[in-house]
Amino acid sequence: MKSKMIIQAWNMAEPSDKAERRMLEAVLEKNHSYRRRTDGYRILRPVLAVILLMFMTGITAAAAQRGHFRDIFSFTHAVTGTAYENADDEITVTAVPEKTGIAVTAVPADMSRAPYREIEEWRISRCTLCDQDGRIIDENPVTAWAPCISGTINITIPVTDMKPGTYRLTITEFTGRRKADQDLPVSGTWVCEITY
Amino acid sequence: MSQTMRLTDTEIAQIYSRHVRTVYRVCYAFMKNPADTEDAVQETFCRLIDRKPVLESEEHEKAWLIRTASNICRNSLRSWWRKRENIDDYYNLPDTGEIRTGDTLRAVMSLPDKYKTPVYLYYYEGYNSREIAGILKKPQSTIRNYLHEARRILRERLGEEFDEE
Repeated sequence: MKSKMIIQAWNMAEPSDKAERRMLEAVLEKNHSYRRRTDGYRILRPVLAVILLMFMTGITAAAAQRGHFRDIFSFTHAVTGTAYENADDEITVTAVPEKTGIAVTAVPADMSRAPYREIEEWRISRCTLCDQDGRIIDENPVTAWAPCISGTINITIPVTDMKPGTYRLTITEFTGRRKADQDLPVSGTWVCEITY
Repeated sequence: MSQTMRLTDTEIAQIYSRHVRTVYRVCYAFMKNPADTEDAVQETFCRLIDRKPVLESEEHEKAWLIRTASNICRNSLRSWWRKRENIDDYYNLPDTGEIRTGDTLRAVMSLPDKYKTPVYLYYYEGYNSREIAGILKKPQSTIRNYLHEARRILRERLGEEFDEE
């Protein structure tokens, strides 16, 4: 009795033929639009993948070529300073022997860009001087601060009693400073051959 | 029946003709008017197209559609837009003439939402509580409680008309 009542009652809830057709048409239309959409994606997917790959490669290549700032952290993960890295292509370095030492000339490629436009004085903070057999002659000698004049920095590395021969100077870090600001390490790798 | 690939119109039409009445009744119990029921039915079949579930048999297909229809209706009734409407206006929509509901169906439709689908599956479709538990992915004891409670409410509302078998 109970089931029969409910079955009879629910038999009343039935879509009309018209409603059934209407709903089917709407569902099929949705299927067509879905097909159009997915077909479009299927064609676009490889194109988008290539564009994305090119874009990401471009970013990586650009990042590899250009210098960038980096925070320096303490062991408690507090930011204690800033460094500028990967400046290899942004500074041209040449070195010539002199009586008082090695005269290093550094020329930043673009003085209008940070950090070069901000730095008032420079010095070499990390470098190695090796002879032609690879023996280290001098390491991290203290150099005097030198101003940047007309986009050129002239720094002298004080080495004396150099024997005749060919030497290799490898600079890995300059330090820049300006008034009332923390020193900025500018790192990269610059190699110069010097013959006495 | 495997449906990992996109369905063709013919396949959709076949599934539709097999289950539209079942889905319609499940939706009608929730939505209580033909217009919203049609929307929910369409949404249920559209979801089948979108999701492309792997359905192994017609029974599995039916169970998936019933479960999806119930969820769509519940979500629709729970939506922000519905909550803005006056629920009394919504329940007392004018009769469109398409469906004439008797006292029994009205009593079933006035049950709490969670009881409607189990009642429909038990009384109309003839499933037992274990099968309903499988379809709705709920524990069997929960389904038995739902049916017990639904029967009590219907007996209260329908009185002697709703006698035990």
